[in-house]
Amino acid sequence: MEKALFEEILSRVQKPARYLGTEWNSVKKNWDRVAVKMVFAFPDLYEVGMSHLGLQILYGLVNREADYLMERVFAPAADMEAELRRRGLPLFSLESRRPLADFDVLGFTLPYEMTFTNILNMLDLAGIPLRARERADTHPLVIGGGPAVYNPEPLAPFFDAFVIGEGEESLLEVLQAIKQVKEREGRPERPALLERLGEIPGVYIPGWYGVEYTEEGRVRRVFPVKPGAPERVRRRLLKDLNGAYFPEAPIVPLAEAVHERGMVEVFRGCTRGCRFCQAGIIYRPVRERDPQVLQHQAGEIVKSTGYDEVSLVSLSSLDYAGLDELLPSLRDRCSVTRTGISLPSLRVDSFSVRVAGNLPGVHRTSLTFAPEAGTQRLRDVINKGVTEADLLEAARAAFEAGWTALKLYFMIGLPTEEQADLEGIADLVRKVRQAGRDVFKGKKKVRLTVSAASFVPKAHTPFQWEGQVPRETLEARHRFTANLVRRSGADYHWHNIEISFIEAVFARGDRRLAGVLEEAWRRGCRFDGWTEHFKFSLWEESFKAAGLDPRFYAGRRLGYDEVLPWEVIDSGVDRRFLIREHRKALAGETTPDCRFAGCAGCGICPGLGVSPRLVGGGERKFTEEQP
Amino acid sequence: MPKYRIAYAKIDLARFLSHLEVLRTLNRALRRSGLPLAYTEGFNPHPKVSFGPSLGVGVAGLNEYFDLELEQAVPLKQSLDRVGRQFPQGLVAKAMAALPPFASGLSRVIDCAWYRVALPPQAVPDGRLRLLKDLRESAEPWLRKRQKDGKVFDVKRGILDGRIVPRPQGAVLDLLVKVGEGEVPLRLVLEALWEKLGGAEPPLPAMVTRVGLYRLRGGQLVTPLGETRGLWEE
Ligand code: SF4
Repeated sequence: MEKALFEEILSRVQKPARYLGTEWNSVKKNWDRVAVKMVFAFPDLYEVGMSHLGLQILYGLVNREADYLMERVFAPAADMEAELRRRGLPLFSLESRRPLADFDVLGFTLPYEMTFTNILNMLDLAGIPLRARERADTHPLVIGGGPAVYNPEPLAPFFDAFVIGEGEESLLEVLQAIKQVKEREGRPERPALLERLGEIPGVYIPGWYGVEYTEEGRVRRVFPVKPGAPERVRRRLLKDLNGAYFPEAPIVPLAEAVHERGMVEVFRGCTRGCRFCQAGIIYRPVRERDPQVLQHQAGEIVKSTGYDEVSLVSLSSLDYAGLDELLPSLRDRCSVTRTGISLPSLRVDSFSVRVAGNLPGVHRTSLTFAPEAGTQRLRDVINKGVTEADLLEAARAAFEAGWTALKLYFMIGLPTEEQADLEGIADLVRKVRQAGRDVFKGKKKVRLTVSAASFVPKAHTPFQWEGQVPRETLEARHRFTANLVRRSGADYHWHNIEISFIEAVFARGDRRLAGVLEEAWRRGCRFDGWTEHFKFSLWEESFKAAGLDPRFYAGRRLGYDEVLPWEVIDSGVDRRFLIREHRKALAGETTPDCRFAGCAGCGICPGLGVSPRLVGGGERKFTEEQP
Repeated sequence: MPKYRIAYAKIDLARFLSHLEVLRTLNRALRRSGLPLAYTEGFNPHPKVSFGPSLGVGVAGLNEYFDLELEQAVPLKQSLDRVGRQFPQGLVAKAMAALPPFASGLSRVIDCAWYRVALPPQAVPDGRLRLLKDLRESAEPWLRKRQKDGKVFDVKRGILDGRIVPRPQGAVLDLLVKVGEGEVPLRLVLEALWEKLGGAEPPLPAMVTRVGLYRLRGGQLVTPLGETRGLWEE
């Protein structure tokens, strides 16, 4: 885009810094000197996307290769969208301000279901046909990755291919394949290109599969329509994080991002085994990075970015076996530059609080704990290994360390939930308050906030067969709990129920939902994860127009014998393990973490030829320790 | 501990950064530069840096300033280079000076600013002349209300001087306006001017450049680096 025009547009939008593309450590390569050009598309605002570790990893990984370039684009805010549409301008990449249609590959990351309408909007703004089969050879290849590809079916008609699993492992193979085909054929034909991509493990080409439905509207079967297409596509993963690429010079955002800090990834995967949690399945097994590697990376990141904080990220960083070794050395390194150290989330125990309290840097004014459920019975059902004693000790430790504000996360509508479980939430609140009184003896006032989400059944989890409680019931339960909690002296906030409902629809949806998605986008749905932008009535209209009932998707309890639309994707975790876990949940039985109690038999390690890697233990130390 | 003043420009696409974004960006550049920064005490130490008057989103600045404190004295030229290399595109380190002990802070040495506004092509020469005449000679106030709190400003009292310079296309309007005491928000100044000129659309901030910041002393302008300038002397 011409600069004068660009400046004119920038003058008319909020936070133009989102669109400049001149960030420190951003990379602008010579367009004519690289073989394959890819744009990484994040279907949410700049400030959300720039806090996303996956973007930083893939951006660095691709751009260090001489043959490829990767630029960025984020979902434009409404004002920018209006400016582009008014002038008939296409959506452009940040670095070289080129139309997305000029790239060979347009790669969307799919962070969560509620970004799906933004994807359609970005395709449309780019002037690329929404449906893969309508695209010509001249259009970029539209591919998707990230956590939501574990059920890509509602998006299937819009994508040429999905890359399942950890992109560090497969993305360069994808780009290399495109390079080879381009070298051979100049402007490659789409089918030839897909043919070649389909040979790469972990690449799912939705156009190669057909779906048959039963009369009641369930999926009867998903089958390859193209000879040679695999029955199921198995995810890719890194065996070992130590040798894996990690960005030591990440892009430093210009417009303020949600998280403004350097990130080191202490480990990937989590086997605590919460039964509602998708991340706990799709990133298995646990693979820890060595403290020396992390220490080095943190040092480089501080040097190259100037951040005043480094965060030790993972699904549960306090579980990191190398913490005792890492923290002192990291603290030394950071003291010179007065760099703070932070943990994104805490475990519910006093140890976590003590660790957090001793970290240098700005301390958040409140601490957050996630007991998730109000009674031990229900916590056993969901396999959240947290007891009331853990929570009260953690709270006491927090108060003793001077924190006066605590936030507690709960989930409403969990399988088997009863009134006693909701009352249990208020009960916990009262006990935490009492702990505060005991510690402060009236000298300081304690502020407690309960933040309550609604349960959303997710594909590939033991709870994938469970339905979501009807909206009216969910609302009644939230009101009931809110009332009790407020009387116990805490604030109660609940997430928008309609958003959780639509999320549940798509989380377990099939291909027919693509039509709903398109209707919703045409009616103006954007940024559906943002309460202030979410328009439920438009969604209701869209379901009606497509002739589908959203309750069928969100609320139905599925049978073990049913074909699940997302099972064409193989997470590596055995279906029988999920069934076992689901049955144990209903019986109130827990399953311990395989890191500490021996293999729970989820199937991923033998199936994918990997094993948990823990600091100090090398591989599979846990099996030797098994009782 | 030794103190320094650095002059920088905010130009090109960086003009679209907000004051806060510039602050954060330059703070990180300083941290990367490896200069021996002095930090504040306490739980949340941050470098001792203080910035001059803020500059809005879209407005360019040719000579902006910040002061910083270091742990030890450093060579000027070399340090300026070191810092400048860490500035992202559009932010340019221009000069660095050591401050004497007990030097006044930026808010004390700045009381006016030179803004240059690109006039819209619709503003015909006639209109421009009338504007200047009105600005200089008429005693009538230009009252404008600020949206957010309803406070009323006399725009004219915030303007110390003005001139119009013809350009191959259109013209630019130079304004010397008060900063700090008696300051009128730039947006109100522009709105008032546009109304006088009969501009169709409210002016965009990107039409504005802050050429310099000064202290007015005996009819002369003194920059925060201590240089003396005549009026409209770049
Ligand atoms: S296969 Fe066993 S050891 Fe490996 S992640 Fe699953 S439960 Fe843990």
